[in-house]
Amino acid sequence: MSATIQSLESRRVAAGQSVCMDGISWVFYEAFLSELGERSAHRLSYDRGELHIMSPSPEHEAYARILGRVFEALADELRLPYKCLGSVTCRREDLERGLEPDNCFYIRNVQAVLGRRRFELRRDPPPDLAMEVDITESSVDRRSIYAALGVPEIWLFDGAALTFYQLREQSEYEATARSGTFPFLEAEEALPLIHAGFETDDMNFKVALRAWASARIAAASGG
Amino acid sequence: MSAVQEAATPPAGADEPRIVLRDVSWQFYESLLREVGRRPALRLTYDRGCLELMTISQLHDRYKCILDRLIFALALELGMKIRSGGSATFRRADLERGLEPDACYWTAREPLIRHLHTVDLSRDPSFDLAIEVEMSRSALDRVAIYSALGVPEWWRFDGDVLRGFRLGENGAYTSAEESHVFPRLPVDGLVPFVHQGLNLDETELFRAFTAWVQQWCNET
Repeated sequence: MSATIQSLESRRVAAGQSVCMDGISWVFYEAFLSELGERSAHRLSYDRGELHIMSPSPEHEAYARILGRVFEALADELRLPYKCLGSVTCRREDLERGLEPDNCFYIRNVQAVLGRRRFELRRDPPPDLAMEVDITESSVDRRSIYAALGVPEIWLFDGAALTFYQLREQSEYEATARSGTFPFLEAEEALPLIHAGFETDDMNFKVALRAWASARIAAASGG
Repeated sequence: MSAVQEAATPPAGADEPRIVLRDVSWQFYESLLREVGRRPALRLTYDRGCLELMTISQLHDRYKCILDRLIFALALELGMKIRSGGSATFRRADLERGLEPDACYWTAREPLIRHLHTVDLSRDPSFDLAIEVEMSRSALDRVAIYSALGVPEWWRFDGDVLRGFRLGENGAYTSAEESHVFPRLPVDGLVPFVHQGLNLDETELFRAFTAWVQQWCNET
């Protein structure tokens, strides 16, 4: 085993790669999830037989955390209760779809997940907000999976732009200039924060975010 | 040896994306093989808990087909017995290793497996020659798996150069200019034909290469 890990480290796979397989049964998708275990960094997307496995790059992971921190700074300032479930697997056997968000939050439905060790989407509501990082132009349509699962809002960062998506009536997402969760927040103004978060250490970034959130919310409520 | 290989192999390419999963059980590897079945575009490699899933590019597959034609022509011209193992999955549960070669052949050992419709490497002799098209580098050490399986010779084509390697008594492969499988054949003699193969139809390629083999036989 140690020899394998050694050879892996010397012959490192370029992170951010993905592999797609079709004709995969739901039973096998679940077997795949349990084989990889909770600690796996891989992101699986399953859509009616098609299984996509992605190995996120460190940059990808960093942006997912930064998006979460922007959300948390605003929610903390607003005293808005939320629960971060990170890349928890969201799946529904009845819909034959599942995925791990890059990051996700329960806000409106926060009560449903408090104290939960396991959660089941068929019984529990979906996350209220999912964060997606797509810096490798993934060919997989993860948004249609989010739509089927009924996730009301997605923040998508593609390496250059931040887009907010709101789930509409026909189970389709509409790109909006402002966040549904924070109606005062424009994608344009959050974008520089995301770039800054990548360049700054976490402590200073959080301090700066807190100051920004405080001023931003004061301005929004002050009119 | 490993240093030579590191230097000579191209990095993992975007054209052939792959994923490596760690701490994967043998049972899971077998169930994945059953689930995805025989799908030529997806290559699985398993080595003691690590599983690589790799997508094969079209060009990779093309080189593999060309090399297969050349090897068949060689056997035919040299009057040798040959059996192709293709890209079937060869695995040994006892060694916890398994892979799909790009191509593989029994030659000297062909009579030993002639009567077998399916070969089981935990019981039957392994192939004499494996072909690896390395358009991009595998994250797992496939060569060490060939060594564990007891494959005496393998050839690597990296999109530019073809090189042969022989298994030594210490279990490591060393670069060999001449093949043992096809006695004294200079492996790099095939290179021009592999490149020409991209621009010729396969019957033309077969004829041109056959003429070269005949000429080489006459000269030696």
